[in-house]
Amino acid sequence: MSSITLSNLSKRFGAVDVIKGVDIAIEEGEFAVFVGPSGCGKSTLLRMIAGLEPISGGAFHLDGELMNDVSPDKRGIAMVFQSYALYPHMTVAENIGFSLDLKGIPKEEIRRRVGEVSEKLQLEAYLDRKPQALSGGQRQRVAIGRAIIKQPRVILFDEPLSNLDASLRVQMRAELQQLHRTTGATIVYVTHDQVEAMTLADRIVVLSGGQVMQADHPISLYKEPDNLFVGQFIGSPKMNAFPARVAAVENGAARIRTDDGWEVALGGFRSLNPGDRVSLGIRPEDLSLAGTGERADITVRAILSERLGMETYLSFETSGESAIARVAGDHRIDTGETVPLSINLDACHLFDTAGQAIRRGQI
Amino acid sequence: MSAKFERAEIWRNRFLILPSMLLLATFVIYPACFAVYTSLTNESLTGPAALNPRFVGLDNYTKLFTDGNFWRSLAITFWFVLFSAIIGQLVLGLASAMLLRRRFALRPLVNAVILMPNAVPEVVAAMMWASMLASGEYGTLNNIVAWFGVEPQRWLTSFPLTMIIVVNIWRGIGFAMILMTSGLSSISEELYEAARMDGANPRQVFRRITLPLLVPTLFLYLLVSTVSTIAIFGLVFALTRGGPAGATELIGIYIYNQSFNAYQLGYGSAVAVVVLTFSLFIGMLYVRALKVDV
Ligand SMILES: Nc1ncnc2c1ncn2[C@@H]1O[C@H](COP(=O)(O)OP(=O)(O)OP(=O)(O)O)[C@@H](O)[C@H]1O
Ligand SMILES: [Mg+2]
Repeated sequence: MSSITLSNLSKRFGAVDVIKGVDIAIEEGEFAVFVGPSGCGKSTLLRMIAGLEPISGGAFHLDGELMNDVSPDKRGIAMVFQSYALYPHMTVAENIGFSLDLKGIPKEEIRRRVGEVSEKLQLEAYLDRKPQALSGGQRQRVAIGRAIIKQPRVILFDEPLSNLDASLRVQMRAELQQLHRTTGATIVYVTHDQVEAMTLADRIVVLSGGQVMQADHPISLYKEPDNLFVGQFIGSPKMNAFPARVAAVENGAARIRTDDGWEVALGGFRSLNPGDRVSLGIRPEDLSLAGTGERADITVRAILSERLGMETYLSFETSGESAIARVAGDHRIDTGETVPLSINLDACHLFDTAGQAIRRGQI
Repeated sequence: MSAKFERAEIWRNRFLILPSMLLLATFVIYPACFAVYTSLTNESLTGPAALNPRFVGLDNYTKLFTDGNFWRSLAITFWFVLFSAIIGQLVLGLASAMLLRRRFALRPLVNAVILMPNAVPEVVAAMMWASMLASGEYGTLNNIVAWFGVEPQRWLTSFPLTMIIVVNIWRGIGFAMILMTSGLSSISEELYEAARMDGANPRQVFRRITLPLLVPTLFLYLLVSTVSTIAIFGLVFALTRGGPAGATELIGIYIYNQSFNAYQLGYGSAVAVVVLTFSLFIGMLYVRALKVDV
């Protein structure tokens, strides 16, 4: 139940800079999710918060208290490891109660609190089992139990669901949301999974190469990415980026001409000058099949269509890498066929040559 | 899998273990059986019995029970195994394995120093120690203790059992360390991190995490080292010949002395058979306790 402030936090392994000056503020009771490509430093950042990795530079405040040099068990932070890290020689009850036992809390009290926690996590039936005799989901719950029995101010999760199968993941996701509601603890959660990030997070922190690319509410990230990286990282399939230039700016609308030769007119971009190079970002779901009689914005040649039943992923040729349209309903489209597409112009994004978003209405 | 295929498989497997079975039969089982047979005779190297060994039933075994030297030798072996293998090598081996998991500047050197004694042939090791422990002012150890103002000692005469225990610890730490290192490396780093998050101090981590998870390795080590330490001969024989006055006469040396110094092959064999049975028993005990497949 505590706010986390990371200021200019950095981490160096030998000569390698892994975390390069990160500023993140997570509010009390928030569910924050770190996402980013593999190797970008998510786990490292989490372990620095936990106290398992020393902080090379910058400051970490928990509730305004400097935590840089506080030992892991004194921070009031619990961590759930990716591989659960349950003690294999202890029963479920001993695993959950271990931290209390270390503190010398009376057995009676430990039993009572283990009872409470296990009831909450539906583990009562397994208290005398060893971890080997549990399923993946049950082990996960034991790991969570071991974390929450400490009544931590913050709970850290490092890809906790990645070892579970799809249906169990959905179930555990719901349980995590429930857990967040009932404990009110601040949660920091690392994941590779877009859906997990979008559904669980109050705030998503997108990391790349040890730097924060953007931190915001999931829907804001989706609707208003600060840069092309975030635009392409959030959303699946990823946002198409068409190299383009500004052809003309006339009464508040910019005509953007892609290198493939087609044009769109986007309203609201006032800061553009004719001739500027830009990237036109269009999400696959903002491209749809133009119905008969409807005016098509572009006509493209299909490379591949993937039929998922309720929707169809259509890959089509451009001069650069192929782009994707995610169109509703099932369509049978052959390779080489020309397809008319219409574009949701209000949802198009523009990025400058450095990849920074150009916002509508910006002066 | 068809029954026929399964049968063929079984035959092939039998064929595969044939070479090791032959070797075992020739060099282990046959000599062991022969020792059992010899122990039931009065076979000897000199005198009339050498020409004409007689079957004497359990005479050798009954004699054994009233032989004070046998019991003394057994007691010496017990203390030797207890202090050198079970306590000395194990504790120091575990300590060095844990130390060498950390990174520090002299790590490769320390590693080499600990492993070296294992690589030296045992007679060479015994010679080294003979010079180390030599009495008078030329003994290396005497020179060392002289710095602290201690009079020259006759180490192998005054503290014979202690000295051979020290020598054997020196020789065995390396093996213990290798085994313990492999045991430690099977404990995942995340467990230690989880324990740290749970607030365990280093002592608690050792007692509650490391030690329990090391139990299988510890038992395996105890099995191997107990049995092999009971059988130690060359190192101690080359150093003391079992002396002075039988103070370091381990059971292996006792068997040798009875057989080849007292020329009583039959009696020596009886002792050997008792020790073999004893070792097997200990081995079985450990395996039971461990419930492992050795
Ligand atoms: N102990 C270490 N010594 C040196 N480099 C390290 C160490 N730990 C991590 N790194 C490096 O730091 C970078 C970030 O690693 P980290 O584990 O935080 O990535 P991650 O974002 O969690 O990736 P993933 O999604 O694959 O888990 C990687 O490039 C990794 O090689
Ligand atoms: Mg990671």
